[in-house]
Amino acid sequence: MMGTHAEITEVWPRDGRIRVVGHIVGDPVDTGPVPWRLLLTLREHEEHQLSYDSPLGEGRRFDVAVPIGDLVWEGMSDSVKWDLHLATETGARLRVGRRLDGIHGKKEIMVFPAQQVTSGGVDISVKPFYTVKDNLSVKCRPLALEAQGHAA
Amino acid sequence: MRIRYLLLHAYGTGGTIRTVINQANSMVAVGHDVQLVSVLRRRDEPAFPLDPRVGITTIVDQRDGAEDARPDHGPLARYRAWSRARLAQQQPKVIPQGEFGIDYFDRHVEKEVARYLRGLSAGILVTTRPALNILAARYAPASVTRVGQEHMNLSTHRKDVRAAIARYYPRLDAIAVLTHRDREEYEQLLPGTRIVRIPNAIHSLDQEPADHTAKVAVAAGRLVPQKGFDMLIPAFEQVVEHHPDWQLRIYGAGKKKAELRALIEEHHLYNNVFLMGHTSHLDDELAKASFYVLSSRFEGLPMVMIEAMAHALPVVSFDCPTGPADVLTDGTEGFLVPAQDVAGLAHAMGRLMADESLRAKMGTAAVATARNFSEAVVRPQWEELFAELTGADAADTPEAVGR
Repeated sequence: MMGTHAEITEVWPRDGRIRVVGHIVGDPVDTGPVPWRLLLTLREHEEHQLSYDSPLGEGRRFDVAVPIGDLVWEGMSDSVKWDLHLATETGARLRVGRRLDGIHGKKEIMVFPAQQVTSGGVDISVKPFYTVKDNLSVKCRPLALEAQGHAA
Repeated sequence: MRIRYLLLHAYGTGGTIRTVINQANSMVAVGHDVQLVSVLRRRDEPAFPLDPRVGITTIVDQRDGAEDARPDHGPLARYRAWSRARLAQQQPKVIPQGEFGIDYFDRHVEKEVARYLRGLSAGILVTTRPALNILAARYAPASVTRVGQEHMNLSTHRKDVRAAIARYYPRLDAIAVLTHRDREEYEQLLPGTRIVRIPNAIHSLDQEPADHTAKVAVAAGRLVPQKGFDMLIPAFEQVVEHHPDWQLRIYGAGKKKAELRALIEEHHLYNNVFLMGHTSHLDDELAKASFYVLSSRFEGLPMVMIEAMAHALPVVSFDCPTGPADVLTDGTEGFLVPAQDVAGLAHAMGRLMADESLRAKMGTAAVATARNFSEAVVRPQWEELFAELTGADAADTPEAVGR
């Protein structure tokens, strides 16, 4: 069951942003004239969403960036995960992942660096990662105060 | 012919063990009487497939609950157990400390190997690493045909090992090395000693060929400094600028993984360079690539490179000691780049990335060259050597000695 999905070719976690580049593959999706957006949903709290314009280029290509500061909030005390989709207001929703390159077990192979952002005086590590199903998510993890003490 | 192969640990994994077991299987298949002798035994079964016609014995069984670990009864047995435990605490006396396998040896193991070797009286004995070659030279009687194999090149051995090689190897009937360059170095160190070059054989020539369309370069090896992946990653960065849709897949595990990962992140290569980990299906992965890269600081004879060639992969390789220059002609099956020349490695990779027809042409040449390392070509070289050496023994009759 492959269906239609948003296939990643590049992920760039640098300069305070996470940029994701790829293209939609599979059957055409009839969405009408509404624009595509990158949708991030907070795992287990789907009502929390972030959304960014992501117009499609030639070959249904997308190239969209998320400022990492948007993914954290003051008083954040536990790790959270955001799941990435390409979506339209008319209900199309495609998971963003990398499934067509024949590499299995990306979680351990395609590993990205963490960036850090400070919110309410707490350093938070923000790191994109592939799930066991080779989809892209982002983990935000407050760094322990104790560890910050050591780093200082 | 009766052939015994003496391995440090026939039950282990590693390139030497694999190739020696391949040799044993190959020789038994054509009717020779072949025995594998393992100095140590730490597992129940060999890790590599062994032809059931090959006999396998162990000198010191170190498995839990093995005979050597069994509680002893009676005063003599207790004395022996005490003596064995005491010797096991001592360093070996003959094997130099610089031997890379020294941690496997203690005085007890060394004495047991010496006792085994002294007990031999005939046949061909093939020893497979410096420690065992040295012990065979010192303890195996001259009535045994003693052949020492070297799986690493001479220049990689530490000083004390080289001194022991110079002292003991002339007593062996022949030393077998993997490359022409290594043969020349041994001939300089050991004038008058018989040195032969016999390469290891690849496991199969009948491989699925790569089609050279995938934008994938492949490298393989343990993640250790020897393999030079710390040079390959910056080299790949230089080419990826012009070929951003190419990937480098590095297969293997090892203690440098975290450092290499940091290097990938530092160069922002996380979209192009992947540490794939260990795979037991390397053949399938090679067939998916378009060329193979070897960035090692040194080698014995790089077998995975030759196996990649059997998949019609052209090769970009450093001309490191030893092996690549024995196998490759620059410009034919790929490119041979001066050792540790990172920019040169990048340039050669760029040439292959830019030209699919060049990859196909060099890949075809690579398959042809890989045939020189087939079992059908390599096995007769061993048979000729053994026949010649045992023939020489046969001439050592009383009349011949009287000449």
